[in-house]
Amino acid sequence: MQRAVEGDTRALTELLRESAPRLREQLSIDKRWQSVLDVDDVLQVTFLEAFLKISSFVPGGANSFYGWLKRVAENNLRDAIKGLEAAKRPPPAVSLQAPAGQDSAVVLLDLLGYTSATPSRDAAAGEARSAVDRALDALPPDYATVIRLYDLESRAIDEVASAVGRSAGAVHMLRARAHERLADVIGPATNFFTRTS
Amino acid sequence: MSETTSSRERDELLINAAARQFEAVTARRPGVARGARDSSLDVRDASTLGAAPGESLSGYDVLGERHRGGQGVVYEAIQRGTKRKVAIKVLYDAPGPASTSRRRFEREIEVLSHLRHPNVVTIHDSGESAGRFYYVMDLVVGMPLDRWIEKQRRARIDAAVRSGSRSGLRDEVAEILRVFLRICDAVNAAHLRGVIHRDLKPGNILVDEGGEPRVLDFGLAKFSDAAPGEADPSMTQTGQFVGSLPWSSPEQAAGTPGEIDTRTDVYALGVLLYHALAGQFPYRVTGPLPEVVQAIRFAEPRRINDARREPSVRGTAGGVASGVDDELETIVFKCLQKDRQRRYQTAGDLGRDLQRYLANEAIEAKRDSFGYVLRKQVRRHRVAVAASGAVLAVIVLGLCFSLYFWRAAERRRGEAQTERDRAVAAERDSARRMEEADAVVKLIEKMFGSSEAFEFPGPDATIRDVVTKYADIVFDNLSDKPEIELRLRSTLGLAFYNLSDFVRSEQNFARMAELCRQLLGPQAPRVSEALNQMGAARLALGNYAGAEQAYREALEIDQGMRGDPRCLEADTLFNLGVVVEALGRREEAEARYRQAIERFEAAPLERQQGLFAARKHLANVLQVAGKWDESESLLRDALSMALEQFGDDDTRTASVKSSLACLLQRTRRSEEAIRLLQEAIASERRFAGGGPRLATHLNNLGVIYFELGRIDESQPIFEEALALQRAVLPEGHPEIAESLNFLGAVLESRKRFEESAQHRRAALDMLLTHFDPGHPKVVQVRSDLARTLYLFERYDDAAVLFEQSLQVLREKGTSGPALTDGMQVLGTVRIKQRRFAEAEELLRPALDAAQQAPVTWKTHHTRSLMGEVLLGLGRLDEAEALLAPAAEALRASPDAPKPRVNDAIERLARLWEARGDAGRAAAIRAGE
Repeated sequence: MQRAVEGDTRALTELLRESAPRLREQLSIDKRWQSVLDVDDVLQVTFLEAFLKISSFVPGGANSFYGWLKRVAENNLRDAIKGLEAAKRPPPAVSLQAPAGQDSAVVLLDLLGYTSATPSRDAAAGEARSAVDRALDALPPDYATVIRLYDLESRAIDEVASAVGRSAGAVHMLRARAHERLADVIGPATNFFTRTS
Repeated sequence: MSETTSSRERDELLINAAARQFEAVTARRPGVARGARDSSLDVRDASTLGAAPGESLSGYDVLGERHRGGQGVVYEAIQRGTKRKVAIKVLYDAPGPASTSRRRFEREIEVLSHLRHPNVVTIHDSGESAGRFYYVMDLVVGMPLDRWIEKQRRARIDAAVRSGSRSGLRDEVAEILRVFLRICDAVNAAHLRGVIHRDLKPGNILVDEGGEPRVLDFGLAKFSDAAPGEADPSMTQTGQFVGSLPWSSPEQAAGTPGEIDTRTDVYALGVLLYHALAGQFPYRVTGPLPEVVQAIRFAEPRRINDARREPSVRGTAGGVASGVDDELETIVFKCLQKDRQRRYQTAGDLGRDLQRYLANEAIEAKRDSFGYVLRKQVRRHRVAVAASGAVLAVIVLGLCFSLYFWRAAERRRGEAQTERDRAVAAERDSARRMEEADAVVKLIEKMFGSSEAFEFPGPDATIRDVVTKYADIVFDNLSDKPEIELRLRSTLGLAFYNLSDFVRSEQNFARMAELCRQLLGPQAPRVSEALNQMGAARLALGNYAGAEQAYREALEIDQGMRGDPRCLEADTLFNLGVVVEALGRREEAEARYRQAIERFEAAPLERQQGLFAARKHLANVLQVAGKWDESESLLRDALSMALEQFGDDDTRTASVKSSLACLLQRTRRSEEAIRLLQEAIASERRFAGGGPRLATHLNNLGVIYFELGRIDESQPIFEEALALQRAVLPEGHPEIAESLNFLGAVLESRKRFEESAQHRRAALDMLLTHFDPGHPKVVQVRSDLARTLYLFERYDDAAVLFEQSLQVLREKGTSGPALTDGMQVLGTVRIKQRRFAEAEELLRPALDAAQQAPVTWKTHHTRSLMGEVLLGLGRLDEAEALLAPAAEALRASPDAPKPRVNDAIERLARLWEARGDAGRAAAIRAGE
């Protein structure tokens, strides 16, 4: 466990192998969602999160890693279902469709909480786009693609799912994780839009 | 496989996929991967390339970003030096030690920069900037293939709606295929340079405004994320594959990068074509990753017309409006075979089948249905079938070979059946298959004649093409049927022999001999047969040593046989005679022929053909040995026999006529000789159209014309003979050398000595590769070359060559005209060198020999030469005794070449000058 935390990917892989069968057995997806969400979907994102976030795990007893992993998995599952449930409701008031004249990158940053500093969103659009684009480069490819297709190109969930070859539930899950990751990568808002007139 | 095992495998798959996603991030942003913030995201950090318009890269001004993809970013730029617009693709950070990555990258770009094809986006430049690789390529203004196809489709639909006519819709498939032809050509061109694309998809194929596809990013998928030395990880990176997975091949989806080759690109082309025609992917590519991988690896593609009718992802009905037929679907499905061996092996093969499809010809992919092949061929050759038996033969032969191909395909299809099914089917079918195979073999044998027709004229070249093309296919499928293979090898060996393809003929006979040994034992008579045939092919190739070896081996078998009801020994003896004759061992040849004749005469009637051939060959040998009478007698007998058995218009009769003509020419019966040769040539033209036999007859006629001084008539004949030989014989073949020598003679007679010497030198060199220096042909050509040099007045050079020839002749104990001719010529040179005593020694035997042969102008010529020698030695009376009658005889001789006549007169005149009688000399010169 310690080696995994310190960055030994082989050690981490070994831990995941040990934990996977138990985790698979314990994950349970409600019948309602089984056609659009698969245990494999959840596991895949969970494993990826494990790689990305292992540095934040604090080793404890023998079962501590499994416990940590299970929490990640449950988190993913919850986000997937949240996304699926939201998709079934009438269109929400807050839409991710970029209002006319607004860049979707700005909207995304909005969503992530980077809204207050700029005097003019339009002026910042180009910069925001570049920033988001470069940040996406730092994301795992799955995450980056979902963000591009869903958030930046405003494609429907089903379309995104089809394009990436994943289920709708997986896409929601990926998006949730991708947003978190993106926020981590971009950093505090003060790094942007700091121009003064 | 248990469920537990299956789950474990899936877990493994998922863990590995996650690991690779993580590695992708680590590679690009090592610190960020573990949670650190990426400072390069600061907007005001301008050290990264092309962050904004106006950014410059050495030699280029970046105008703006064009596209961002999984591998990198594409910018539009202007090349400062040329002011032309280019595209610059900047890859994401290269992992690993920079130096090795860079070297790999640069090497790859170097290969790609040489890839020049109108449908490949050319790479011009490359480099590294701010830790990223970039490369510069043509700027292509166009849209991805799938969008272009969609756009064309909509335009057609709109036009159809407006006009009310669907005719435009029918052209859609043809238009798509034409674009694909260019794509296949581009991919094939890259394959020929060892470049595999690995990531063919619509995004990598841009179609410009002119409708021309341009394929880009060849072979560079590996540089997006691969660490040096590592297997291409993009195969199993799900993230990387998000755009590419639907287009990937089974071997890519399985994560076995070692299996990726040109056929991987063929598969991708199949998916592209399927998608273009159906508007869908061949199988479901949505859903959980393992299922998608499973589908790519194992699922059969849906029928295109079925897929076409399903709504597409975008909610509109995709696919071509007119649907696709069986044939086109077969082409597509062949690309999509899971087993790489069953796909088109190259993009070029795919392109060719698409072309055939467009031209309504039979496609390769469908060759396993012989009914299909026949229908296609009959359709194409509708008129020809009625008119030409040869074409019908081609169709039938194609049919027969297709049957074999079909059988093989059947067998492969059967592989998927259960053990039990297979056993039942095999039992039921084996007898039927053997019958059918037997019928095919009989048909082929019938088409190409029986094994006795060795001098049978060859059929036309169309059949050669078919036979050559299908032979390999047939034999691939015969590994378990050696008996059938044996018969087919024998027939094919003969067929190729008759078609003058002696290389293939020998190969087939050699294989036949091997099979005979295996199946029948090393001493079986059939082994002797096969060896004989192999020897004949080798002989035709000029491989005399090889032929002799084969015949000797055969003879051993024959002589070891208890009884020889089919009289094989006679054949072998005859064949051995032919080869040793060719090797210049004429006496041995004569002996072998006589032995063969004896055996043949005692043999049953059906073997009499061999007798005919043996007599003819013996006659030739005797002729060369100066035994004219016996030779003529044999030839006249042979001619009667040929006329009776084969008729006047037969190649065997022609052959006898040709030999007889040579004898007649030597004995001054030129007219009859010419007539016979003209008949022989006409017969051979009718039957063979070409080939070495015709060339031989032509050369014989050319020689007669030449000797008669009809040089202008002889030259085109020699040239035609040479062309015919070059068409079928390997360059350097002795017969080609002979023709070159004849042409050398023509050039010499025209005083183009240098060219003549060149031809003769070439001929000599060719012969020396086959024969030792003492071979009569070598001696002859060497002498001829020397004579040319002599006429060129390079007497010393000429003398050296003549001396060599003579030396060889003497060492071999040669006698007869070959020796004396050679001596005479050297003697002539010695005269020029004013070495008269040596000249006399050389000319004396020639003179004696000439006196004993039938008198020709040459006899007088020799006498005249001797006269000159004696003149030179001061023995004027002796000289006069020769010179005077020689000059007179030559002058009176209708056959004597004018120069020889003039020379003789000149010598006589000089004699009188030597005697002090200038007046008489002048009178002689004046013709009195």
